[in-house]
Amino acid sequence: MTILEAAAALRAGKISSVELIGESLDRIARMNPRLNAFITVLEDHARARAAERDAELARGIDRGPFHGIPVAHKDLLLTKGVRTTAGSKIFADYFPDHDATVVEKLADAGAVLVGKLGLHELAYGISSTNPHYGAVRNPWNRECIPGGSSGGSGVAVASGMVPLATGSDTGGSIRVPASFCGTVGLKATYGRVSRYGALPLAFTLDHVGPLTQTVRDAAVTLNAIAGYDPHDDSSSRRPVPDYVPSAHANVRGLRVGMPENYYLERLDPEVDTAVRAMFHTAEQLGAHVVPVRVPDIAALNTAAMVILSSEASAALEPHLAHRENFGADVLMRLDQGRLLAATDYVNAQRIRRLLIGDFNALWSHVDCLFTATTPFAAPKIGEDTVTVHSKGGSTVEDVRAATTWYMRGINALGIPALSIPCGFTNSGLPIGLQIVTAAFDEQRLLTIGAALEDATDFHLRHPA
Amino acid sequence: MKNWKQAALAFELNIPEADLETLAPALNAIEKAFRPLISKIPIETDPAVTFFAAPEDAE
Repeated sequence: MTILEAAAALRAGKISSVELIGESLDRIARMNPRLNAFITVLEDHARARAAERDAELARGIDRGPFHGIPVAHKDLLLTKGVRTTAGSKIFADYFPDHDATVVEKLADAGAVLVGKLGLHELAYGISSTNPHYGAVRNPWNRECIPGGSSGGSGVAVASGMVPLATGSDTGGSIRVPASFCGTVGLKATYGRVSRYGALPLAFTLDHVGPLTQTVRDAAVTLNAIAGYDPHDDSSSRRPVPDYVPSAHANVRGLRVGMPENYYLERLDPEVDTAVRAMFHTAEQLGAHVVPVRVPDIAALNTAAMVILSSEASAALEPHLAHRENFGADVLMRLDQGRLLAATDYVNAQRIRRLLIGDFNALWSHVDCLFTATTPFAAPKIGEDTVTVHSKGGSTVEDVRAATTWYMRGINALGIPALSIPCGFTNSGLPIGLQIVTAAFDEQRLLTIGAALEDATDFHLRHPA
Repeated sequence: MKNWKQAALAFELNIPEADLETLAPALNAIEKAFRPLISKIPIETDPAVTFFAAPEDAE
């Protein structure tokens, strides 16, 4: 059941919050031992809150669409009195004394927290194969990674344990698991959603956002979590419009950019076919597909990598005296950042500024871009390299680098991006389409996503 | 390419030699991609990190 379906059923008296939460907890009890999506399950807390929400509704107090709805948070969002590990040994016994802003906003909106979700250690990687809390497994094929770093979030939504999970995205960490698990994942504009209370990885690249079953669920979540937060200096004061697309989302006349360079050059053939089919679907809905050359994404990705490495190492430097507390891959990345010069960081931020300008010019030609979210479907757990087939031949690539080719630069630009399911491989793994628009153009982004979703049925398929 | 062992020593980073050998290829790849970009940055380009002297200026 989606958020909006559950909200309607609650108000129609067809189901109670206690029953919704009970169903969610039952699914978690049944599926989590095989999938390892949750680090912490809050059964007693959730049942008690659900009873309170039902009592409120009975008294005529309605907090809106999240009233009584189960939610699970990525375990790097601070939750008052509830252990918040960040998937790290360092924070294994950390019980925060306050909530992250997003956690607080969803709780105020009536959502019921059922647990905290597994992730790649410190959100610094894309596999969610965590050395301290175990590997999170893909519900479509348990031998495959769910993506990351918000791996537990993708799994919990795809397998129906919860209709809403939060994630964070520094170089693709919401969109990768959305793509690999077949869910919707939304990274809004930098500053649209408060980062306060999300343990930082990279201050100028981190975003917080939802993973959901449908685009309209992502939109209604953005309604609840967007807005100015005095605790977050990067938070925008722009007003928050209603992001939920109408029942008849319309893309007629919209200019959909089809990248002539970079984004469609290195794709697994099955991904290539699925993504190109979405351009056709958009055309059938009345949009115009416009070929465009995009700015230098390879340069943007390189600058983003230097910024990420430097900022992550700065954030975690106080903990590096105890190297034994880190998994090997994360420790290597943190060491890498410490060896970059301060001048490199500043110059990476200057390159970023230039490319933001180049990208802004693109929006006078097109209203959005379509790309693959990831160039391939979910790799196997433990694989460090992946063979990418493309028209120019096959190359062996580092899994982490190749997975984020089409996402990392978007974080450096700070612009919004949405991943939606757009197909399946012959082996039954989901494929994701990434839609990108100009900064603070989330209404258009979500309308496009909803129109494509309405015209397809990929979001209706669920893992066995 | 840079001598990462010397760099780690100079900064007193206490990174074991074996770990430095493991991460050197990744650092060399960044160097190879990043160094040529720097010469193309116009001198007047500010970094994209913005400092707000007053919170009300943050938008």
